[in-house]
Amino acid sequence: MRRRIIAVAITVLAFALLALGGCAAAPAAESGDMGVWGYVVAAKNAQLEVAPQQQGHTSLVVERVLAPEDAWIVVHLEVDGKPGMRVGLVHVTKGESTIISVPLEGVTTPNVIVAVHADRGTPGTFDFDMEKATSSFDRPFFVDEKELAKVVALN
Amino acid sequence: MNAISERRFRIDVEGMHCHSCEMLVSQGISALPGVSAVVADAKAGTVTIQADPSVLDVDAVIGAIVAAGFTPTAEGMAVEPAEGAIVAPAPAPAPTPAGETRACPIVPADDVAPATPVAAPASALTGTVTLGLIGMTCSSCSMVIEKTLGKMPGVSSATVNLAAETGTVVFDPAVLGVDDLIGAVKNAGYDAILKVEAVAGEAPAEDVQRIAQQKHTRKEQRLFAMSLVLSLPLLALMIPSLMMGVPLAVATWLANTVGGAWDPNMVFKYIGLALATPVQFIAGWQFYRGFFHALKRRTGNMDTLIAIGTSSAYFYSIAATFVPALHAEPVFYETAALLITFVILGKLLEARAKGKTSDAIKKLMGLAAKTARVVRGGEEIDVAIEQVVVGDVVVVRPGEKVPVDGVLTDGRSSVDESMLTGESIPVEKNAGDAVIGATMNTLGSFRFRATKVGADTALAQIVKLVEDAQGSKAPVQRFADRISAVFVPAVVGAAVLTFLVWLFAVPQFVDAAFYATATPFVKALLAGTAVVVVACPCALGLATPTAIMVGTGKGAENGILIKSGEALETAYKLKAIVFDKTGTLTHGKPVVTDVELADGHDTARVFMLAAALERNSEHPLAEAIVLHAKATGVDLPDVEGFSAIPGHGVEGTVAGTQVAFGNRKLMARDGIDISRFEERIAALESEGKTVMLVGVGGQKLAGMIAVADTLKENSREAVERLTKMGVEVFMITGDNRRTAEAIASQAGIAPDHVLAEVLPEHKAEEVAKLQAKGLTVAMVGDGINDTPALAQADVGIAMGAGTDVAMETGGIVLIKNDLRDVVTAIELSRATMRKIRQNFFWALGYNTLGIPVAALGLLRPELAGAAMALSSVSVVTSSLMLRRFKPSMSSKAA
Repeated sequence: MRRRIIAVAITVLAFALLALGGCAAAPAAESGDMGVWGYVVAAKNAQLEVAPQQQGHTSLVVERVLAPEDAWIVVHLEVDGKPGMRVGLVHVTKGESTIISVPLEGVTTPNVIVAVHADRGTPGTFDFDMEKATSSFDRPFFVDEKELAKVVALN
Repeated sequence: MNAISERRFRIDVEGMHCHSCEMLVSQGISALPGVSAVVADAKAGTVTIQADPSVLDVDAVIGAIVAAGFTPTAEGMAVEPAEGAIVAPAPAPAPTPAGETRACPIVPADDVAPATPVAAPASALTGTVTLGLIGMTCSSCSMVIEKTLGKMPGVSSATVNLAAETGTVVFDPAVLGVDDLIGAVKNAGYDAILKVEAVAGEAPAEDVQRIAQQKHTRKEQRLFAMSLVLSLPLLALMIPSLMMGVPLAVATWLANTVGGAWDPNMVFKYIGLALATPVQFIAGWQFYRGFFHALKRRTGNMDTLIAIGTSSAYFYSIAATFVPALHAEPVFYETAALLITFVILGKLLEARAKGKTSDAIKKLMGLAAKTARVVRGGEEIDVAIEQVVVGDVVVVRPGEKVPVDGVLTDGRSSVDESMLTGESIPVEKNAGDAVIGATMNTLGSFRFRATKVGADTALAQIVKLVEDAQGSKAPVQRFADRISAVFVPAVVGAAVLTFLVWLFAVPQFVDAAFYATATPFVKALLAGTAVVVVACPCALGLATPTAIMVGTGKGAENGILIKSGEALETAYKLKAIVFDKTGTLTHGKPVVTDVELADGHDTARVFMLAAALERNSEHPLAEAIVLHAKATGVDLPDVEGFSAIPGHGVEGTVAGTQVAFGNRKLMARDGIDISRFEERIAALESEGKTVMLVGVGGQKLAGMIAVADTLKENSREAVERLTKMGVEVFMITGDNRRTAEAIASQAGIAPDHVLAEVLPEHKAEEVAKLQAKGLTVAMVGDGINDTPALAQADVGIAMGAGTDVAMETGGIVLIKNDLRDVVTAIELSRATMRKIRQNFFWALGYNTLGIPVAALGLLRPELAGAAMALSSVSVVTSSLMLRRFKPSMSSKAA
């Protein structure tokens, strides 16, 4: 009798747990719009060095990039502390690249955000859609749960 | 071989106990030249051979029987065991010198006396074998096996019981053997073993099927443990915080140790893949195997549905993991793994619960004694129960079990027979009384001569009978079979339809926001998978057999042997019960009921005179007079000049007095005036009593003695209860109407329900007349002269008292001669049928509710799997509740 009760209890418990888990579950791909939604990289393998203040609105210079794979240097407008419209894009190969000049177009804010994205879609084509950021191929690298990006003030 | 030149031969064979023995003998003989068919009958102890006499080698036949381990018995060779002796196997007859005629042990059946059972025609020669089946999961599986066996040439019928996990096959041993049957079952994707009848007293561990099932269960337990260990992390990963945190932590660890860039979403998918793959292909392999075998036979079963359901979830997830275009799609590894885990859990719980449904059989088998104390060579020695042979003198001491059946020869005691009969009061046993194996001696020691051992004992017969009943199919099962036959294809069709509707139709009618979290394809896949899984008809297949198993087992516990599922089901429909009078409603033995004295006479003297005369008579009523006189301590003097006057009575001189004892005609013949007693005589006769008058001195009446067959104590109570239950109660007897109505009145049976003056051979016609009125009729009789009526009735209820004839006759055997058990049998039947209906409700309820819910996309596949597993468990548990059945008129309480 006791065994039966235990068996029933286990079943009910499992059922409840499953119901909880099943009902609470959301498809995996929908989980990345918060927190880390790009590619996780070790700090030693992904680095971005860029001067925080630069002159001019038509280009900026990234002093050094270390990428674990082929990547993109992407420049966005900074709108309310978040990335806005993309204003610059340069492809870099895996490894270290230095003194990279990124042409800018349509800069309308004092600050821009420089980020490093992976090139995981069609090689040489920037496959990234802000509307579907979490499911785009060319998402940014994350180091220590933070996006590999810097804010640059353009004077 | 030309059938016209063939003849049938029959040989008596000792030592066959079961189907396995029959098969061993049959296989040995059937391989001989000239033999076209062999039927071994363990019960009758005979082997019937269809063969060409010009080719058949008698010595080879005998050799084959001996080689199989049995003993052919030629006429005149039967060895009657002496006390203390062990019967040695009778040797095969010695070869006959050329030209010499010998008494061949094989007797052409054509020459057998009419009273001897004659073998059936060759075309009807059949063997029956029971196979233990392993690996069935649902009624579709049992149907696959039934179909597979049924289609084999030479097989005339195959019945598979899902709950008992047995298959009974009637086949022609000349066409195929047991190995062929087992091979066919194995080819169908299941395992089978020859089920050896478990003779009472054998250790349960020797049950090959149980060992195989335990092995199977242990394997399932290991698979479940593995599945659970791998599925629980998958379940945990469904919790949002863990869903984000764990893949991120793993991705970070990989980035730090391996290098490169890691997508947590993909890491999540890889974790799912790593955990789900062993579950899918190790634990879930059994479903693929079952699916494959079902597919080969163009049918479907539970495996089909589980394999389709889990595969659709698993392989879609594989695509979402490795096809770049689908990288953004979600995966459902946890669905596949949890589904398999739940199904295996359900199977384990179900197997555990199913095991309990045969508890009654196990309990019965456990009753048998393991050893016996027998007298051999003048000494009492303890031997294993298997070594006791017919004729052994067995010694039983206080508190010991009676090891086998026999007849008490020395000593007296009280024996508790409650374990077999349900009767709680110990039964007095004296020399000449039968004792039953497995009953418990209470006080006193006694010796008895063994009359039945091994598979012939009452306990072994009861076990066999209950096993057969539990393996039989009730007609109501056909309902489940019909549904199951079309269920799997219908479900797959419904699932495909659900998928297509969700994929193409639903998107036309819903807002785009509906697909914010999942694409139409994903939603269609989930809904279709859930339909496949929730609709599995496993519970449906268990609804009837589990209830029948518990019901028949419960009957056996109460001394009611229900011989088939059909009898159990029919008893539920009974509208009329016909009771035989003598021996059924009444004790069947006349007793003295009244004594009337003439002036100047006393009771003891009247009985002394009457009983002294009747002691010399063989009339049935005489025994009642003598027994009464002895019981009241009357000494019976010798009689001089005794004479019996047919149709009148008896006369003689007792203690110097001329005495006439008989009916009115005898008194009139002697000129004795009985006018003073006429009124009283008429009154007693109207009560169904037989009045006998005692005349003394050839001139005057000393008194009269009335004798009658009295009603059993519980008959009236049983009749009243049956009437309240809405069953019309009839009494049938060969007695005249006045006597019959008198007894019927005492029993509470209305005069218009008395079928009087019916000869035994016409009883069946009376039953048929009631049936013609549209009544479902049960006949209750003692199973000997009522046999045709028992057979004619919809349910024959034999008041068994353990006689072989009673065990053979009717669908239900009452071990005790207690009519209250008739009530209990009907109550049990009604309870069982109620339970079957409840089970159908549970089983179909899950499916009928589950399918639309799943089709509407409201049920995740893993939840559907859990619901499906729970449905089987709930049905078996529901059947187990029948174990709480308590008779309203328990004779145990008496």
